[in-house]
Amino acid sequence: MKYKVQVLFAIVLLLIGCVILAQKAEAAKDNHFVITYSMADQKDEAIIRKVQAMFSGYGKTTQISLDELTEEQMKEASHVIYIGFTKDLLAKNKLALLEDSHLPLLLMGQNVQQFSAFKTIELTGSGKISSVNHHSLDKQVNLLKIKKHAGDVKSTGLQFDKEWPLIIQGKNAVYCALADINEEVQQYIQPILFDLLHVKTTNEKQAFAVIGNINPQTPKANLKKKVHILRQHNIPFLLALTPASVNSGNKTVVQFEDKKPLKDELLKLQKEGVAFIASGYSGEYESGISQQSMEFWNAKTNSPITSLEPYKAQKMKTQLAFPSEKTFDAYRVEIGAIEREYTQQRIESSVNSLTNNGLYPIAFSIHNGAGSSYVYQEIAQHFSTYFGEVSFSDENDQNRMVQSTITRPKFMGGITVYPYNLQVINRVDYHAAMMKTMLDQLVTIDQSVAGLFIDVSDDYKDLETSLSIIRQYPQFTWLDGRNITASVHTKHITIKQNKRGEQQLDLQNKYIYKVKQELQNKPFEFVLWCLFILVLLFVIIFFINVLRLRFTLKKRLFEERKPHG
Amino acid sequence: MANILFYTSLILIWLMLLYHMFLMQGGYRHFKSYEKVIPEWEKKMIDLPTVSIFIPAHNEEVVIEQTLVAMSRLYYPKDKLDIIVIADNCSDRTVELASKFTEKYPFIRVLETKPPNKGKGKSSALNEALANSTSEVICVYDADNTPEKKAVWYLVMGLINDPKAAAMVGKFRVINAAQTWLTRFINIETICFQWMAQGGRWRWFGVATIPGTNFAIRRAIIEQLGGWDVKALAEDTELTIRVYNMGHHIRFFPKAITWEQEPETLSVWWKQRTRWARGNQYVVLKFLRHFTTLKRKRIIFDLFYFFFTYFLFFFGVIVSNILFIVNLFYNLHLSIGNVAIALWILAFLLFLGEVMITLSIEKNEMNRKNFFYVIFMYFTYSQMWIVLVVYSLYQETKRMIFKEEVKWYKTERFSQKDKGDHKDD
Repeated sequence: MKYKVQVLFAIVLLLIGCVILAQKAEAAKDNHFVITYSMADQKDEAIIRKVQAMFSGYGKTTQISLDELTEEQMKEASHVIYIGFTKDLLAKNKLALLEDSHLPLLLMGQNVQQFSAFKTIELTGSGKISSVNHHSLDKQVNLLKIKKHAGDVKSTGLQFDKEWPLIIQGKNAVYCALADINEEVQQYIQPILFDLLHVKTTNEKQAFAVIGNINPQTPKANLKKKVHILRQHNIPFLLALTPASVNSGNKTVVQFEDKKPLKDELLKLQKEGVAFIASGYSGEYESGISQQSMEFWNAKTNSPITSLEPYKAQKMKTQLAFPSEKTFDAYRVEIGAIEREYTQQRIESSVNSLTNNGLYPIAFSIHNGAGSSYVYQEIAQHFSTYFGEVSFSDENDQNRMVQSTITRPKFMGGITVYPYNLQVINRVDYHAAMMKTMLDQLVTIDQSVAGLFIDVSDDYKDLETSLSIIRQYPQFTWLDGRNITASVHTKHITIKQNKRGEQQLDLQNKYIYKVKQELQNKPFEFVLWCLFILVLLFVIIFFINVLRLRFTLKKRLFEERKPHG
Repeated sequence: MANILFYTSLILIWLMLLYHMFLMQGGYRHFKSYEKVIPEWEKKMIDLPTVSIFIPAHNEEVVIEQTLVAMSRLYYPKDKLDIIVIADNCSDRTVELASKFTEKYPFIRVLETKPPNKGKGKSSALNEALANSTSEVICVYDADNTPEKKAVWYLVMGLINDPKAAAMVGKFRVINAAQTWLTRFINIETICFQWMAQGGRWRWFGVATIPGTNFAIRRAIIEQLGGWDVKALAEDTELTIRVYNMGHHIRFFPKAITWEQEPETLSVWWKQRTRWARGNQYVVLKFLRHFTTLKRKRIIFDLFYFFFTYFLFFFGVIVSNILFIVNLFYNLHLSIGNVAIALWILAFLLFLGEVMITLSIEKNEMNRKNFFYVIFMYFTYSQMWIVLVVYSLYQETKRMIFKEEVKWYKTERFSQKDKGDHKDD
């Protein structure tokens, strides 16, 4: 009898355990974040993008303005995030939509007092904080200062000597007082927010390594050394290739086909299973001008690209220069079209140049990450995967940041973004302690990813040290680039890669395309080759004629000799 | 800068090569068709004009006899022929040897030049003969020439049948082609010049150049022009321009053939060709300066061709050679890729192909020996021309700056005892 009871108890426990696990597994797929917002100013768009990106790593996100939010959308949500950078009164029905959903609710912004959970909050302007939860920040961030509240403070920020509430838990809602987010702050507040909002996560953590800044002028030895070190550590890696490089001497464009030894090395690595990332086309918008090597952003004017010809490009006008938001929006769309056209040309050139050399990229990256949402959206038309930094503002390049997880930012067209949040240590501005701090933070974040960017010109000893540091964190599983599901699509080329690393290539009109590219890149040489082919045909005809004449003349000679015997 | 120079030289060289490719095809077509008119033309050879043959001779004892033997055998009514050996300041046995022929043949005479034409060169000698003759047609042959029997006959035939032609130009062959490697090269060169440059230009543009020998010109024309230019080292080219400027044309009729002796040593060749190059440079610069006053625009094109050849083309070749040599020691960062090497090889193959097709026009010239000579010629003889053109330009410039007097260089002759391949048609 006793034995039967024990067995029954064990079965019940097992069943409960299974149910819990099943629920957890089930629930982990269920995250659907509805991010809704009210904005008074275009510049607040950056924070909305950052918030959306942060949550996109954990499930589906729907980003929609509060005015357009519907009940049907709320029914599909698992969490609601409201960002309200306006002091306007919210419509009662919208307010009710948010509060009556009984979903975990995260609030940000200036009009939080309209929500019942934070009726008593009093805000007293904004200020910059220099630390969060006693962690010093390298860069201060803006905070909305809470003078009075009735909730439970879960995080604080320090301004001079005064601590201000940063995250407050209310009844069925959480308020975050940040008016701006950077990657440092996000790493501190994310675990707290996710815990308070009961976001379903898994514990897996991944790492990946990319050797970048590889262009046709890269010494082959540098690349080989880096590859050797990574292989010694059994670390899989990807290579970020910039297919064209301007020779500083004679200003001519050098491509991989001009550097056979390097090209052969890359082909060998591809054969051995290394995946490639197309890192722009030439790395520069205007050659010889930019110190920061920006290809999709005008570094000279610090604004989006406004012309296909760099020397004609002017700084993009701000909203202040326009009488109304509508006219500015129309202007922005016009500029956006130019950006998209420019980006498309660069992508086409990059992918074509690489594929013409037998190098098949599976992702795209922008060195330094500087670009507007139009650039990213165009990239998303061609690539399913992106590596690197992302700029969250269309106005300037000061809002570049990397996430701690793999994200799918909406403003980037839903492309999957793998962040570079680590780099090789050096003696100048990135010490071992900084890398360890980052890794310590990433460890606290579920589903985080440690993305190591290795510049091909980095010191190999520094690389060894960096890898040794990362290996001290066994939580991270190294990701092989060939196990990423990715696709690339241009006018003439389609590349698909599945999880098993199998690549499928579809090249249309390969030869016509190659001819067009030659004409575009080296027109004079192309003309000379045409001349060569034309004249060669004539020369062949001449020699055939010579042979023909030789045989007919010989025949004639014999015929002439006959009468004379 | 190096890139600009290289691309410029590449363009100049290839423009010339493509133009010659074009000319060669014209020349070959002319070869295929020029004899077709002869049966029709023969019908008009009834009322023949009187012909004076001028043979300028300065110390030509080595060759004058064989020349006059050939002249004596000319197929033309002897009563309408007046062969004048213009003995110009001869200190050898030229007059004595020529006089033997005057005793035997009444249509051959010797005319000794007198001041102011004495010892002033070929142009002056020809002017002397012009003043001392009356024939309707004037033919000119160098003293080393042995024309074929019907050479004069064909030249006159051309003039009769083409009334608009001021002059008729025949073809010259090398009598001592087999003598040395140099004469072999010259033989190939002359065949190519005549069929490509002369034949091709005649076929496509209706233009030909008087070569200085084996040509016939109407007396009325030469008198209208005031005779030959005594200042010109290349009096034939100079005359050509003036004839065209009058509104006439010169026809290339290669049926009229003469055999002439070419230099057998480098020094003789050098001196002769320097004179020609200087002469042509003088003519080009003389007429290009006043090209707006030239009446026939077609000749401007031809003048430009000479200018291009002697100045631009050789400039391109020299610059590209210099860049090539400098690049061996110092990286000039030339952006052009392998196409440059490909074009260099192609230029050679083009030269080889064109020359072989041109050689096929002349009997027994397209053979294995000549094939290898052509290859060898590309790397030796053709390159020597570059140095020669630069040297001649230097000499001509010096003459212009220091106002030096033009000195006529007389080509040395060599004794010939059937040393070449020459047969009458």
